[in-house]
Amino acid sequence: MNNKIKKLLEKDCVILDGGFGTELQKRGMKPGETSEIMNFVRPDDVEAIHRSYIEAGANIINANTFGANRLKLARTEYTTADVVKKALGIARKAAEGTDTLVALDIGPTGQLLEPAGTLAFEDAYDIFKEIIEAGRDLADLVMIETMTDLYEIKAALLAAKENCDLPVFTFMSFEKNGRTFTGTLPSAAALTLTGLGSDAIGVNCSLAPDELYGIVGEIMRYTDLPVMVKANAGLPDPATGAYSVSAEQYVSDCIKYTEMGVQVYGGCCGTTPEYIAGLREMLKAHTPVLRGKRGNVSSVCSYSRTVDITCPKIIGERINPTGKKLFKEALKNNDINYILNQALEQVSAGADILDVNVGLPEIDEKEMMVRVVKALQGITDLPLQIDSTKPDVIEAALRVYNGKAIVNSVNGEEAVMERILPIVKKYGAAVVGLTLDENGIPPKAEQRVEIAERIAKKAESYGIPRSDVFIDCLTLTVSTEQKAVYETLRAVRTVKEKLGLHTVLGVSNISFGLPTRELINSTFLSMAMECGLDLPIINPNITAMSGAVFAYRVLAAHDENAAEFIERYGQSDAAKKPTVPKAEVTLAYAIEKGLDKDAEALTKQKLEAGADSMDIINNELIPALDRAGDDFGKNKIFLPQLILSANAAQACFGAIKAAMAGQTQISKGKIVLATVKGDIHDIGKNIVKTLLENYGYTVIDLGKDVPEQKVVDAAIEHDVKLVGLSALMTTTLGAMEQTIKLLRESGHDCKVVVGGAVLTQDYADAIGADCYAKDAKDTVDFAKKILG
Amino acid sequence: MDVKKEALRYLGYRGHEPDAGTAELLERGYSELKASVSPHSCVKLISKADADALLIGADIEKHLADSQRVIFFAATLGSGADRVIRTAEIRNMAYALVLDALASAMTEEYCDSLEQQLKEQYGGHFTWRFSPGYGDYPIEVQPDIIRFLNAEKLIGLTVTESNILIPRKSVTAVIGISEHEQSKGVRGCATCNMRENCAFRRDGQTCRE
Repeated sequence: MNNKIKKLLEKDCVILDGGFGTELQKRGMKPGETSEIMNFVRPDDVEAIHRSYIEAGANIINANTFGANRLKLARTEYTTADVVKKALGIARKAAEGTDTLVALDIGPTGQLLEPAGTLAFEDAYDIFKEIIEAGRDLADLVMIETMTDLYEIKAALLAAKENCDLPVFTFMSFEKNGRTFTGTLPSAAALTLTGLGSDAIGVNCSLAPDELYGIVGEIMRYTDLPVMVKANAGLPDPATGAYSVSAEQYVSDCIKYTEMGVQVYGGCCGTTPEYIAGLREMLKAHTPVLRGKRGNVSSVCSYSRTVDITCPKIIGERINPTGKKLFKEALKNNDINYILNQALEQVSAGADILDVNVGLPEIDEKEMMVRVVKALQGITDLPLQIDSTKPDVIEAALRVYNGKAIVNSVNGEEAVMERILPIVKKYGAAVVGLTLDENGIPPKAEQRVEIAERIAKKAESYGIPRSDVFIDCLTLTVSTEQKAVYETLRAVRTVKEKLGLHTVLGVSNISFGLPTRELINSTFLSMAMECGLDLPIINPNITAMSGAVFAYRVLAAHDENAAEFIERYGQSDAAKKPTVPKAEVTLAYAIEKGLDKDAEALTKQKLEAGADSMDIINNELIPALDRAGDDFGKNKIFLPQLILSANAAQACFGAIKAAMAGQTQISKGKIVLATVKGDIHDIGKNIVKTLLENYGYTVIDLGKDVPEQKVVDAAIEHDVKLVGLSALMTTTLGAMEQTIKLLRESGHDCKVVVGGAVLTQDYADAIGADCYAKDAKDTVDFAKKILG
Repeated sequence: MDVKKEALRYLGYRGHEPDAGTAELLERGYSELKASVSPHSCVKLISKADADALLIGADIEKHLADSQRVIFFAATLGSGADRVIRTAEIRNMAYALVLDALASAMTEEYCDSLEQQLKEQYGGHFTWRFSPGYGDYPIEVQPDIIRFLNAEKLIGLTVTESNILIPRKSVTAVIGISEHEQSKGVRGCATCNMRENCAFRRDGQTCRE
């Protein structure tokens, strides 16, 4: 950190400036006008505002660069570099001859990032990088503020850390419900931004000072960094624009922050130099207290869920291809949905953290890891554990992860630690340390404890706190090394009690080669937890395993009043009964009525009785789906029912696939589906996909907002005979036409079916489609005609 | 508004009772969404003359012919609704579809309650809500409305380059206020929020029996 800032933060408190946009409006800027333009059309006013804050006592002022990103400037005649340089020049001039420092101020891009929005993380990074490159030589520090998306502020912070040496202060804006608009928690913000190397963390905008105590307190519980508060002066009156909290009130509400230990004070919308001068006077009388340190607590998080490792927490192990034929096939076929299903199943089974391993020799592990991490964080808020031995894979995953992850793993080997620990440190993750080294797994507990300490020391030398090192004392198989079990357990206890480190353990290996493995596994798990195991890596879908953890939490008095336990098991008798279809339920009936569990059970029965899987598909599954389709066409049933039938068919298919895994593919042909460029309505396309898959077609789903050329490339690469395109907006029909045009020009021989609410037969004809499908059923009919 | 009934209407059940499976999805979806949405809105009231730059096309002009003042508002269920639907699409498309319809109905219900509140606050006679994309009111005006309302900062509502609102379950709309009763005209498909996602239009029908 540069010296001036370091010195500043050594002081008891630091004062920032106050509202800027609201001050500009007082000087004649109209609502809706771009405040960054004022650097050019009203430079004197901008400078005067800076001066007024310096005179009020601000130690740091923000240059007028808040919205100077290329997306927001697109409708102006200025570039990012123009605005940033000009604004910093004005601020520098205003600060001339004073001790006041000048910050490059960075606000949100104005677009939401994936998966909520359409802006890619990498693109957001580039946008912020451009701002930082333009301003790094003119600013004393970088101030990133008013962010509501942890992913976006991560992109900005990474861009700052990687492209300049300036200190970085980061602020997020929270709502009354204690979260940001995108659902980010204060704890998650504190953990993630601390890990990524922010120099101070704060809240700004959105609320008044007296509405932020709880949120600020929560941030303090999760970071040892200086904490900052820049609140709004309440809310503006819709008619007069006057803000509701006076300077006097604002300052007196901030006294409580000095008692909490907030070190940095300023103001946001509606605050004026009067507020800042008031803060200065108040802080002369009230020195902020020194806060206590976080201590040996560890937490990991996604943007919207924080897991404190204060009692045994389950790491779900199912996202891993080792020994799983179907998973391997899914990886080879880019079937992300299969992997997401594995995640969701573990979520409902009670996992707290998900291990993610997608290593397979035949695939590009790095690319797959990034895709899977991005997809997973779109559908679950469980924190992730990145499981790979390759540094580049780990780094790529941590980079796009929206939270604080765990890295699995390093071991006591120097070279391994030197390769991986710097990455763990850079992205602020926690790390699993295996108690083995170049000489293998030591037999004795003492030797493993020694390696554990070596790993913790090494991690500390990189700046990773001991609390973020989770030691795996390694489970050996009881059938081959019966005495070793106690060595593992002794090591767990010593690492936990003597070294004060958190412990993690893969449990399932213990029972290899024995019958009723669950019995051995769950007993061992209970023994390990009693020895101090914090993070069992298990298959949570097995009730005996996750149940042992839930029961332990009750018995060890972590689960207060057994509330969670009762919620999970209180009324499970009915649900737990295995599905035994009633005698009158046939497979066809189950599919038509959308009874997915029955459909699956009946299919298994038939397969076990020796039925041919193609016979089941052609003679039962498809005719039943056809009947449901006919009823849908006649308005006898409606779309949800049609899809419920498709779901039941999918369950039937699932059973067949599971039985045939590794054998011949059962596919009636491949189809590429995409929602065209610019359009992000993809529920319709996904319905078509569900139906097509359940008629036995293999669907290559390119997703939504798909560039024209990507459709062409996929059609050629997979040599498909049918491409389905969806568009739901009149404004994106052009992209559909262009896609068809490029497909035709490529010379690839295939038919194109189009659908979407704004399409008509006439329009489909006009843009050269081969078929207009008014609904999912139409698409299936056309697919049958083309592919059989 | 009965949100569940309205959702059924969006799903094509014109007065038909839902089957047991769909009814169950509807109940489950309603409680899951209720727990996940975080409705926010922002409003500005200005004179029609001052709103000129945001009022483009013949249809909005006709709509506001008798109005002296104009309300612009934006309302969103927040990104929680999108997340719930996105997750459902992985496991159960039927559920996702039902959630989507429910969330659309909830957005309408929220707008209704907001409009009621504004009526009490501002008085006068209101036109119905007119949104970009209705008739010849171009969708391209969406970014300008978002900026005018400061909706990104106030309620976390953004707009993509192809003028789609994100979070998805969001609405921007214009309401005219006049001193005296005005003819409301008939609302048809051209001025319905569901027009791009409607089970009836697909079959050349309408939702009105």
